[in-house]
Amino acid sequence: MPNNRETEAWGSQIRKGVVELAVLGLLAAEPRYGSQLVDDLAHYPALAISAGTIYPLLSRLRKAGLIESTWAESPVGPPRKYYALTPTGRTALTAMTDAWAEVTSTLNRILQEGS
Amino acid sequence: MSITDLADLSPSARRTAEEFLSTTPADLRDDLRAHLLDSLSPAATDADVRSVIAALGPIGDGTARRGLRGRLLGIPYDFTAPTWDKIISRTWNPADPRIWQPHLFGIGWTPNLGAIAARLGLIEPDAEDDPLTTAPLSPAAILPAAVATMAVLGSAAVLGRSLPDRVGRGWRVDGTPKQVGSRARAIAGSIGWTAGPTAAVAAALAAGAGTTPAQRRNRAGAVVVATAMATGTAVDWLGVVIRARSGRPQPWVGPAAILAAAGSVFGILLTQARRGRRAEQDRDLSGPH
Repeated sequence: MPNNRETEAWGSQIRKGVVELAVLGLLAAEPRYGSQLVDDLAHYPALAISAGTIYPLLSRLRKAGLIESTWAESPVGPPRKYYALTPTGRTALTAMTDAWAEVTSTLNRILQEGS
Repeated sequence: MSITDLADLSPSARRTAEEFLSTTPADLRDDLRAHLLDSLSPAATDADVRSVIAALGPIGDGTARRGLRGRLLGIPYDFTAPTWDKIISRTWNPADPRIWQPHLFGIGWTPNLGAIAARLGLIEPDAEDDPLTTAPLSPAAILPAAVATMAVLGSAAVLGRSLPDRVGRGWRVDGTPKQVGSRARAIAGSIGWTAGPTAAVAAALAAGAGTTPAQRRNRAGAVVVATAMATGTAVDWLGVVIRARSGRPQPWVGPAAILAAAGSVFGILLTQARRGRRAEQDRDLSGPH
């Protein structure tokens, strides 16, 4: 029987796996800058991440060609680097969303049958 | 600007890259491919690809390579070749929040100065898409090494003759010398270990801006190492002079040499990162592109 720590570790692994999809999903709506993404994800406690996590993630997504970055003037303070989906990123988001829907519906069926 | 697929390269450059990857161990291939994509621009030539490959050093057998890097009792070790690329990626990576990275060569850790700069609010974690590759090296990067060289030359010229014929070299924790040697040799060594690295920095700057991220990163790495050598040597020489004239141990020299080297490197890298940020902002904010 897994203890609380093991359950939390499992939950953490799940979150790590889906946070990329969450970031792509947020960027699909509009371009955002790094700390804005951290603040937006903070509205969803299950997916909250720190500033130390978002920038390596954004760097990885950019190198994979899924997002691109552009500096833009900010209404308050110095310019900010905004991130937006590339066409490749939009295609990947669609595929990942479909895969996610399939996984969650299958898992929900299994869990319902088991309960 | 890096590439996302080898197909972005010219046919000859792509052929060279694919031939190289086909000869590498399967368990390393993904990492090596990612490194090539990160290091090459769409304009990379066949020679640029060979240069990036050469900088990797011997790949060899995957099992042997795994044995060269890892952790033992929680302490990291890395005995793979200390390339310029590796030096920069470990010492300046603002996007990575970890201040301590595995040592460049050997056992232990080395500080990620980029993470320190980001935590101090001196630079954004994502100030540059690809750290230290956006803008050419600033000519001012030679200043720390040049100042160190001038300080050693000047003090040797003014104070050299007043030093004893034999002076202490090297430092123990308590500030006493590890060995005693001739004054002339101490002076020559200090001048050599400052002027030589300064010449190396000058050569890196004179080599031009570099056209690929790998070239720019390699040059930044060379400047970093040379600057650390020159400034650390200058402080060491200062300690030799003070100890010889005072006759007392100088325990501050070791820590001061490390701080001087780290501080000068930090200044160069932070300045360069800000230049890169400015170059990106100029590109994006100046109109349609």
